[in-house]
Amino acid sequence: MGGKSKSEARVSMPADCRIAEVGVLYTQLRGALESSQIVLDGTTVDRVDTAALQLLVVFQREAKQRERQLQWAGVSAPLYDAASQLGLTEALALPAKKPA
Amino acid sequence: MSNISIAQFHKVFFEESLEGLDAMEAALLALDEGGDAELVHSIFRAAHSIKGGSATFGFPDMAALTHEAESLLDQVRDGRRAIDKSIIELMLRTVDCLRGMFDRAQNGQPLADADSENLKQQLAVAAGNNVPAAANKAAAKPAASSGWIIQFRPHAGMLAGGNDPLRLLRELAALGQLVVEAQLDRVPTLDALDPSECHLGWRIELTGAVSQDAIKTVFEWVEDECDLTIEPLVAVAPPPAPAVEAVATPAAGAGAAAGTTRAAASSNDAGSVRVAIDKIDGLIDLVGELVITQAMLDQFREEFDPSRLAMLQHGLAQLARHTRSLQESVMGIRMLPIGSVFNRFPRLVRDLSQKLGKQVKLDLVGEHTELDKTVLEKIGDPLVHLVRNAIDHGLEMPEKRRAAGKNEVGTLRLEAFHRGGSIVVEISDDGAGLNRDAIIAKALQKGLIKSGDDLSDEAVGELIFQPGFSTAAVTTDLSGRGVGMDVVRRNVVDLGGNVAIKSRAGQGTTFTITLPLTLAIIDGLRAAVGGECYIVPLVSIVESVQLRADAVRSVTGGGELFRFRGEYRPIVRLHQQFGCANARQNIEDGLVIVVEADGTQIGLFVDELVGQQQAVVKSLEANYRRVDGISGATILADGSVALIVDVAGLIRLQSRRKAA
Repeated sequence: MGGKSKSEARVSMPADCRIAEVGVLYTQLRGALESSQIVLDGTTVDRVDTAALQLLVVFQREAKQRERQLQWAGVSAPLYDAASQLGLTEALALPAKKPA
Repeated sequence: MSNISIAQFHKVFFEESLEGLDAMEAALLALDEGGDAELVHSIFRAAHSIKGGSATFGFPDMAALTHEAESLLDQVRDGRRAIDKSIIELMLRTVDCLRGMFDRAQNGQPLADADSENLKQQLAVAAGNNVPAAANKAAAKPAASSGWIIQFRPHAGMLAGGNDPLRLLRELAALGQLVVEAQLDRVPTLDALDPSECHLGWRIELTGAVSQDAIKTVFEWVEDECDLTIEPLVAVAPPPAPAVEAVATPAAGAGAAAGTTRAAASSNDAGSVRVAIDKIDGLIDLVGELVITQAMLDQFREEFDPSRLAMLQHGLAQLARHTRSLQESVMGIRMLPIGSVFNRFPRLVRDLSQKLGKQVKLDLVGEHTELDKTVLEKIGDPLVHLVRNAIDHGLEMPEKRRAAGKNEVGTLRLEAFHRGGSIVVEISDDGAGLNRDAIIAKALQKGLIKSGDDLSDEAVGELIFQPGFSTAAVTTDLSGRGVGMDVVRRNVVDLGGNVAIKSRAGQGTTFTITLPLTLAIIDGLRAAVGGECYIVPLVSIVESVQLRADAVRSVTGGGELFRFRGEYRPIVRLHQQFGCANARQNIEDGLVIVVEADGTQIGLFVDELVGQQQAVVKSLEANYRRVDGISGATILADGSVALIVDVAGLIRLQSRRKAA
């Protein structure tokens, strides 16, 4: 991945965000850590599983530790539902209200 | 990285569940007619496995609905309440509702709708009505508690094994109110993370009158893949009434899921077949034989010696025999009993006859007759149309039947059997038969015929297959559905089959559907036209004749007719139709194959017949594009391609040309 010059990175999560796809997301997220500001876009997530949510939790921690600014650009209803079912909304710093 | 996802099991789950629903429906109908207690058990089992499956595969709405149905059934099973019409009606509606949900699940739509929510409430109310009291129920099951604390720590490999904690938690949520606390203490750093391994754990508080067994069932599949402790919740809250609780919590989950829009996963829906073990074993045996034969021939190749020619011939004969058996066995895999289609009719007949106030006895014969899966899937709708029509228009009201000196109960008979190389499905009723006068009047009005005086009964019957000829307005005063018989015929013809009708006033009507055994292989005659080869399906062939020039007449407008068995029939010269060069032009030099479809005969003029052969049908549309008059292609022994003549299509083309 490129140098530290990139100021903002945007990671769009795929519609199918499950264990078979988390490898790609993992690489993307690691790349995004090079930037100081990171925007996660979960608007189009349709299916999500524990593996993907766990990855996001780990990523959140890592970002915090490295003092990156992390923001959610949007959270789809399936993503929100899954996170709240697993008790991870706080750890993921999801916006408090479910989007319409 | 493992690619295992639970979605790959959805299809099997859908199929099994739909079969379960069929069984449930059949048992309910049998119960309606006074069946025994064993039926209740089989209904319960079906509901239970759908509930379990839907929760496992992430369909909480479905699980919630079946949960309610199961509670009600449980009371019946335990003898706590007697089965009555209202319960059967409710359960039949549940079956319908679940079918709808499966439909939506396959299309990736939200499962719950107003109907299902409504039904769930009704089931809960029905189940609650006769429950002695909430406390009693809890007391009756010692293992039940007002709540549980579940400590759930998946092993690292659980995710890769296809088990998703999310699904398990959703399943728990269907049992009662959850408070979930994720434990992140073992989560590694991003660099150290293998995303397919699970490092999370959960402490879950489950409140509700749930038995420990119910919780264990949720974790049944993963008990070797996680650390699990289940302890009763100490602080006992007053237990809510089970009916209310059961409605309230899953509904919350349902609402959440209803907001989700799932992507359609059914775009590449190739379908699947479940095959009996003995069919597979037969195949394996045959392949074994084939290998032996091949080894024998191989040996001959290595030690070539003209004196052993007899052995070679023997080996080749064996090879041919095994190949043919293998082919038959493989085709057999696609063959399924028609009973799966017939099974939907008891319900249809019951509902329809109740609605119309008619009394109908349904006879199903030959349910074990096997049909190609593709044919089977597509024959359902035409059959439903015909059965519906038979009850709606064919069978009379009880008074009318009595007045006509017939049994008040009308009989509707569905029969499937083999005839020649085809499957025949007959739908017959002992109703009033076609109303000849009304049909002729309608046909005259529509301008389909000029006069109805000298029409045979067959010809009158044929009229109802004409496009736009609605039987509803003619044969009964009931508001019919206006089902066009032309659509029924077209559907059947598309399957390579045919529909015929026989009707006798006052005695009833019989529809006869003839279907090919399979669509994948046809028996055909190979005909040479110019330098090319065409396959004419054997089922369509009446006979082939060599004509003298004086038997052929030219008609104005360019067509040709030939005299065959006292009647004139049109000739289609295949070389003209398909533009073949170097074909024989003189009618006396070639042959005319008389073919028939949809009750019409025409003659196909070809150079000569080469021989009979089985043709494995390849789709022309998929590999090239649609060609009028051609239904597909096949590969010949020498590797060249031969086109398969679409006889019905040619006849349609011919009549269009005549009309033009």
